[in-house]
Amino acid sequence: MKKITMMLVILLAVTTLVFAAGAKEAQKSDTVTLRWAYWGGEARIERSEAAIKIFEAQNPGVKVHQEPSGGAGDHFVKVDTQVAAGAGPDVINMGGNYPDYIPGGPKGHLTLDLFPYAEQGLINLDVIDPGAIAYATVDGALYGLSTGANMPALVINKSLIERVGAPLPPVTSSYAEFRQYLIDLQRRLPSGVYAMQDIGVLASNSTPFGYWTGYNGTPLYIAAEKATKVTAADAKRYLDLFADYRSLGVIPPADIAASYAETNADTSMLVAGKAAIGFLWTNQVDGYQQAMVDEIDLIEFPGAAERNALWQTQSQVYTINKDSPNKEWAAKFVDFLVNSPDAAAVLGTDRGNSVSSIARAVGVSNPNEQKGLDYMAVAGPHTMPENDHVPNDTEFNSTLFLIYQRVAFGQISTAQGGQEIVDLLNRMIEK
Amino acid sequence: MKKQTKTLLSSLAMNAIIIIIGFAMLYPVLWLFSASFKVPNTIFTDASLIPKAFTLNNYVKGWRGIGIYGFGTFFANSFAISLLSVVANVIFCSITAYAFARLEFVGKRFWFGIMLVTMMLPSHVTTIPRYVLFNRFGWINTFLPFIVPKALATDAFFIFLLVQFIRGLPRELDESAVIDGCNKWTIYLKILMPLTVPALITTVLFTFLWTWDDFFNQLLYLTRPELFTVPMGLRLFLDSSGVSSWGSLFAMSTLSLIPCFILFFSLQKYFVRGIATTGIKG
Repeated sequence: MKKITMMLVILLAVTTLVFAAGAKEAQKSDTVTLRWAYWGGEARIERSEAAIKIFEAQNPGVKVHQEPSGGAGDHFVKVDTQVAAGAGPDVINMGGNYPDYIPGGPKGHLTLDLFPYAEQGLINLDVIDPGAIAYATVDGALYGLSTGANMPALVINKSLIERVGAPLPPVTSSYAEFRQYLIDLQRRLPSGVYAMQDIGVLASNSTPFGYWTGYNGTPLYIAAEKATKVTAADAKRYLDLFADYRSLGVIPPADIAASYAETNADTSMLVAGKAAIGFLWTNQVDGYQQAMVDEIDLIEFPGAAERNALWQTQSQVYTINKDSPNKEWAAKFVDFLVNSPDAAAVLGTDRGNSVSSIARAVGVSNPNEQKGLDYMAVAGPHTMPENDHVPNDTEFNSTLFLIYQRVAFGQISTAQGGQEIVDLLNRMIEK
Repeated sequence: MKKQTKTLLSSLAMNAIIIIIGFAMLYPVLWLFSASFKVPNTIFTDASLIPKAFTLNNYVKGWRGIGIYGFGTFFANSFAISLLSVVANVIFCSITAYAFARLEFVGKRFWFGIMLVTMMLPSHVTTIPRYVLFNRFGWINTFLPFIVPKALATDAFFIFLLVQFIRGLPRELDESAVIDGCNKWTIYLKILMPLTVPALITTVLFTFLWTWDDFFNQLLYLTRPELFTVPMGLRLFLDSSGVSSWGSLFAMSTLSLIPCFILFFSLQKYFVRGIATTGIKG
């Protein structure tokens, strides 16, 4: 027993020393090392690694270590902890939450103003879409550079619709035409399969509701006025719209709809083959297509062309840590990721359709990504500037979801639901 | 005869209920196993437990990992961390437990109380201070943050478990050993440690399983893909905003269960004795 114990102690001590030595050796390196933190899966990591290899080959002496996390939640937990310990990465991907990390933001000042680096010629902003620059500009400072733009869309199960002998829906339609199409399609679909998923059950249900209010010219929130333009009557009409679809049977009853969380392909009614039409962002087409045998395609929300009610949004932004010891190299790396045709060729549209005219000119080789681009080419002209995000967006989404569910399950009327939505909006704005 | 039939029927009904409940509990694991052999684009459309189209490609593709590092690397890292954690916990928790259970020293009750308090402290409270500390030591992207604390006997749960077990052993054994010429160290090595094997097996099992399944700490301290562990590797197959590799995820999830199954079933006999004699059975 004594021998075994001694051996275990020695094994532990030796292993500990080996790993400790490894740590010290890593610190001795005199090359420039950039750390790039982002979230994403296997495919995104492989694409990012390919881009890093090109950048390192073009810039000898610079090493880029990627620090991927599986999901956005993990990513921000890790980054927040690293930053709190004074060891944040150099380049950090963020989403629509980047204002949380600018001066005065709730998470403290983390992001670097990129305009001075553009003036030094390290970042070329001349080829970036003005809308993308405006998106990340606050009080005259540019806190991030867009990874690419996305658009909301309706996704159709093309194969399913063709199998039942129904015509494919037009890419552009009015609300009346769309309603009639759903009724006609439902007649041909087998029992248990619905013409459309219930969009109100989306985790981000402020997107379809935001579209509806934008279509009506009553934005959810106007930051300059710190007010909403939505009235209880507007919100009621939105709830009535889906109540009508529910009574027609073209969307599933509330209990069936609630059983699909619609957070990913694994909880999608469309992927399960139980709905012919659903909702997606353009950069999700490839992922969803790979999860199903049937072919999918994209169409516009009804009424989009009529009132230019769609919008483009920035998928993510590359930000630079203001405490990075290698700010210039980080700026060069971000410029490479956004503007380099070499990077665009390997990164594709995984993080959105590039906002750089140089990168866009490269095109894409993936047919699923091409579907997203084809859709954006048609739907792009039917857009307006993105409306301001409602403050406390996460809470707004989760509570809107609950109100919608209570209406769908018949616990409250659409009029009561409409009033509750407006009360919620005002509460979020005043908070 | 009538009574026998009644007993038989009752037994059959009981067994049927147990089988049904057992199947319901096992269903998620069976579904996972079945999904790992399905063609990825049929996983969510083919509800049957028997795949319509059978493929081993998920295992081949999953083993390749995330392209830049194979899943073999993630398994090796997980094994290294888990095994070293087990060794550290077994040695140092048992020594500490021996001290608390048998030796007399100044402030014993106070330090025992402090140790129990650490069990009640939510781990998230110490997350950032621990990260700051390990970052200053230069231990980020090494396995040291997982192993060194265990070598300092910081797993109060196992110390408490072993203390309870040792307290149940008769003190006369120690006294006899002293008469036979044993000192404190040899009493521990030759008398108490061999007798605490069931509790040590429980420590081995729980340490291995908790370390093998740990995601949060590994997410914080390991940022380079070459150091990623199995839970982190599995998470990389999922991407809500891009392409998720469901087939690879389920295949590698199935493989990741194998070490836990082997360990649990091979030590089940000792484990049951361990939990029955340490008072953790509730």
